[in-house]
Amino acid sequence: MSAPLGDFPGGLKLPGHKKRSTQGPIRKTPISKQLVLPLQQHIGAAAVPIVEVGDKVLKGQRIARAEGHVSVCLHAPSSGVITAIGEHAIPHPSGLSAPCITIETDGEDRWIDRQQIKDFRQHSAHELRQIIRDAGIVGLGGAGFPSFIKLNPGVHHSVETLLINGAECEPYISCDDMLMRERADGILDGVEIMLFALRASRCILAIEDNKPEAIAAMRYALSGRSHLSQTEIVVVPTRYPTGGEKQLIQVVTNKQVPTNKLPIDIGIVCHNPGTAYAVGRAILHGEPLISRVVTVTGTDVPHAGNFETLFGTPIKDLLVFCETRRQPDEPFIQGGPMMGYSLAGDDLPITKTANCILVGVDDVAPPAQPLPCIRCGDCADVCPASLLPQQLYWYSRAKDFDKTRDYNLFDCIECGCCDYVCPSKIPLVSYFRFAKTEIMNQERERHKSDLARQRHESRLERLEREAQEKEERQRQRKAALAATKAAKAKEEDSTNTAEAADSVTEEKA
Amino acid sequence: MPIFRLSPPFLAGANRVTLQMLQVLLALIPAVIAMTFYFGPGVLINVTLAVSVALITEA
Ligand code: SF4
Ligand code: SF4
Repeated sequence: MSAPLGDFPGGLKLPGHKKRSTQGPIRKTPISKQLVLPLQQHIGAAAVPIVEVGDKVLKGQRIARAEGHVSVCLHAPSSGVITAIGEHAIPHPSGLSAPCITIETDGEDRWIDRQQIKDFRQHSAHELRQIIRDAGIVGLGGAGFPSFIKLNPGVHHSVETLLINGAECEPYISCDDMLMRERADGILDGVEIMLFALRASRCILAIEDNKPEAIAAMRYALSGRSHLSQTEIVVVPTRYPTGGEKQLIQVVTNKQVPTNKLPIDIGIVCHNPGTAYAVGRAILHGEPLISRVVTVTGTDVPHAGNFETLFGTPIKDLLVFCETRRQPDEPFIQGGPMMGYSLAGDDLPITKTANCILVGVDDVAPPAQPLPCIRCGDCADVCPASLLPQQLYWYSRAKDFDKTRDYNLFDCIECGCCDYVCPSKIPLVSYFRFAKTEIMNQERERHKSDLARQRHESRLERLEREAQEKEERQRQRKAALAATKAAKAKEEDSTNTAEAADSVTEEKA
Repeated sequence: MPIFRLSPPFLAGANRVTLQMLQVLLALIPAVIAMTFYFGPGVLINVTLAVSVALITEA
C-alpha cells in the first residue's frame, strides 16, 4: 500500500547494543529528596519563575511561565517546598551553571487538579496548542524544540504528512522502542491530536526493522482504531543515521528537504513518539510534562533498562538506583555514543532532553593524536548529507569560513559518520562545530556592527539636520530682524522728512 | 575507567591509515605483474629501488 522506500547516501551499519536495555519493562525511578529544574530545558527563551522560595507546590503545578514566543512553561514534578531559586550545575558539555528551581519533595506526590479533555475535537486547534504549550511539552527526541510551534501549520504552509520518528537509530538508546512497546495506545492518542492540530491528511510512523516488538505493538494498537485509517506504519532498514529528520524524510517519502529549508516547506512535520505520548497525556489526562523515559545502559550497568524519571532527579540518584558499577568521577555520556556529550560530575539533573545515560561504551574511541588527512575520501562516502568532509575540514582548519559555507557546512547534521570512519582519526565534527559557532558569532558581530553603523549614520544625519535647521532659523531671525530694522528706519525716515517738511513750511511761514 | 575523547562520536571505527595503505599496495600488485609481463624484469629492479629509497628516507 505504500510507495517504495527511498534512500539517503552514506550512513553506517553500527552495532546496536540495544538488547542490553530492552530486557525488562519500563521501571519508575523513586522520587528523589531534591529535584533541580533548570529554567531552560528547551530551545528558546528561558522560563521565568512564578514561585518564591518557601512556597509549597503540588505535583504538576506550574512553577515558571513561558517568556516570549519560543518558550514553554515548567512544572513541579512532585509535591514539596521550593528551597532555592538560583544557579546550579546543569548537564551541558561546557560544565556551566544556569538558573534552576530546587524543590525539596515531601514524598506525598500530591497532584493538582487535572483538567481533562475528553473530546478534544470540541476545541480549536489554537486552544489545543495553548494547552500543549502550557503543559511544557518540547521535542523529546533530543533537541527540545517547543512542540506547539511544530504543531502550527501557520498561514503559509499546509501540512500533508505527520511523520512520527520512531527510528531511534543511535546505538544503545531504547527509550522510544520501549515506549512504543508498552504505551502504543497513548502514542496514538497523541497522534490523533497532532493530526487534528496540524489538519494533516496522513500520518506515517517510521520504525527501524531492528524493533520487531515495537512494530507489532504499534500495529496491534492501530488495528483497534478504525478511524485512524490514514495512519500507516512504515518499517525502515536499520542504518545510522536514519533517525535524522531529513534522512528519515528521504527514506520514507523519497523527497529531499532543500538546503536552508525546513521539512514544513515540503509539507512534512516530524515528531518523536515520546512527544506524541506527552501530548496525549496533556490533553486527555491534564498531565503536564514532568517526567520522561530515560535509557540507562552501558558496559558498567549490569541491570540496564529504561526508567520513567521525574525531571530534576539527580543523575547520581538514578545511577545509584540502577546499581551501576561507575567509579566516582568516572565520566559518562548523556545521549548516544555518536551525538551525545560526556559529562564529568553526577550532581546534575535529568532534563527534558535527556534520552539516555550511557556509562561505559564497548568500543570506546581512545583519545588519539590525529594523523594528517590522506584524502582517502572515506568520509565523503559515508556522509548522509552528501558533503565533502575532507574539504570542510581543510577550510575550517584554515578558518576560511566563506569557503566552508560554499561547501554547505550548515547542511552538516553532526552525525559523526565521517569521524567514525576516518583512518587518520581526525575529530572532524569538532572542527565543523567550531566553524559553525565561529560563523554564527561573526554573523552576530556583523549584525551588531551594522546596527551600530546605522545608529551612527542616523545620528550624523540628525546632527546635520539640526545644524541646518538652526542655521535656517538664524537666517530667518536675521531676516526678520533686518526687515523690522528696515521698517523702523523707513518709519524714522518718513517722520524725519515729514518733520523737515514741517520745519520748511514753518520757516516759509 | 574509560577515558573519552573530548567530543563525540565516542565509538571507535576500525579504519586505520595502515589498512588503507595495505589496500593501495594490494591494488598495485596486478599492475606490477602486468608491467613485468610487458616490459621485462627490469621493472622489478625499479620497484625495489623506489621502495628502498622511500623506506630509507621515511625512516
Ligand atoms: S576520512 Fe579522514 S583521512 Fe580520509 S579524506 Fe576524510 S578526513 Fe581525510
Ligand atoms: S558529521 Fe556532517 S560532514 Fe560528517 S558525515 Fe555527518 S553530516 Fe556529513
